[in-house]
Amino acid sequence: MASSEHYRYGKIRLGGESLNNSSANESHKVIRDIAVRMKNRGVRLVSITGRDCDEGNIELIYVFDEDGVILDHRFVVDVERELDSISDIYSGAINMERENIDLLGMKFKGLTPGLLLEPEKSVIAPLRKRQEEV
Amino acid sequence: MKRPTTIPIGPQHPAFLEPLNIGLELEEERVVGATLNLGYNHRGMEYALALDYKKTQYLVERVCGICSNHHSAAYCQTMEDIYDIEVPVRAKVIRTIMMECQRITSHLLALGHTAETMGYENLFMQCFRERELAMRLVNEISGNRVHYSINVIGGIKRDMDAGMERHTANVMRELRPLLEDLRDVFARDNTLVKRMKDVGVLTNEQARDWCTVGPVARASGLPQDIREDGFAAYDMIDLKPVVRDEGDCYARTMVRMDECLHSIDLIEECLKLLDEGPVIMTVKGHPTGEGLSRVEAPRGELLYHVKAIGGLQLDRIKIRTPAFLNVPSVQAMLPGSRLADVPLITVSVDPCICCTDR
Repeated sequence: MASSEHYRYGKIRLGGESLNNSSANESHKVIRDIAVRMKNRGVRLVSITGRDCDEGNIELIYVFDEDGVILDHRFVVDVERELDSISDIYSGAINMERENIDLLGMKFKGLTPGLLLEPEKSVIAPLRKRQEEV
Repeated sequence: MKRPTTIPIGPQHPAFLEPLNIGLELEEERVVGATLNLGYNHRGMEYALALDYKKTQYLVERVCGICSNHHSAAYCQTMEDIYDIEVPVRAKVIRTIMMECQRITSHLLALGHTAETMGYENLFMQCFRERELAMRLVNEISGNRVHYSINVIGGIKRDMDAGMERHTANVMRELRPLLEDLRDVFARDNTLVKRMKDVGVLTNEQARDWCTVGPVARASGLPQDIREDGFAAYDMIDLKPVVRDEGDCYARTMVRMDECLHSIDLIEECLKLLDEGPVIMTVKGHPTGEGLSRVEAPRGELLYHVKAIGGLQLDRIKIRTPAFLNVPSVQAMLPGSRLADVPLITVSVDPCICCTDR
């Protein structure tokens, strides 16, 4: 996990380097602590973005906003692992996480697919890279 | 103990302009629970937009027809961030004028829709009559009514001449008293006020919890307006975010109404900033790197996050629309309300399902 803070209006650079090693799945467990800390500080959750970075790994970027300051926390996680959800900390996170379930085939504890795609009937994880795209 | 009755509202419902389903739990006429079902309008836009970054600047406007210009502005800003270029000032000012014009058209649509939902057909027509002035203006400036296609990476592709600047100022002068009249109706009409006051309340804490943005957040006392970031020309003009603290349908409506009037102020300020100069700068080569940019669309913060890998195809383009956060917050507003108020409460968040589902 890595994080960065930026305060350059109109041009916000995300500079957090992601970890990509065997402990990456473990490192994601800190997200609940981070989310609680952020919530208590009155920080707004902006987005949870998933990106396929090959070999079954997804880079998951949590973006927060604290009085205009963008904070990003990044994790590289195994797509097959069931991850901790922060939807009980931020209600607004439910759909952000469910979107990643539908579009990238991720798994979050206590959340189901079917926000944007119909399970069993729609294309599976359309934002995962297909073999010909890798 | 009585068992609640469960009824579906939508996805096809006369009050909704787009498909949206709400599973309501009722005890007699009172809502005790609500579950939102989305996805009826999912088109896989994020997949399609990543295929060719040059075509994306036009395709991205098709995410939504109401805030199309904000989508292309946010995308172009993100790509300019990746290219690390500074857009000419004149282009920034014209982008700001177009964004504020679109805020007026979007808010007047939302206000008209709110009036229609309350059965006030005449007010709906009045909103759309005034909106037409702004719609014609953007058509004259950009050549298009809905998808302006004026933003390109590096600036804008159609300049305003002196005649168009004067015409824009005249339209704003004509629009202001009409919107002030409209504001009086929304603020003072007894029936409207009684239908909206203390209905569908979203508390400050709930607004934070649901991560709401834009007029929905500002109507619940959260003073967040991304225009304060100073993107485009917002650092050159006197922005005064409209914030209220009631959190009900009335507050959300009045925030939009007052923002329409403030948009006129901002456009008039922008017109004074229009000096001679270029409106576009050329960019060379394919983009490489990661960029994040956001604009204040009519419904709130619109975020674009792009990772480019040096070819036509983008590695990832993520769009976090304001409606994606605001629409689910109706689940917090509905419990405790009457069944008859459900359409009004839902419409009061200005639900854009095209943006939500993408």
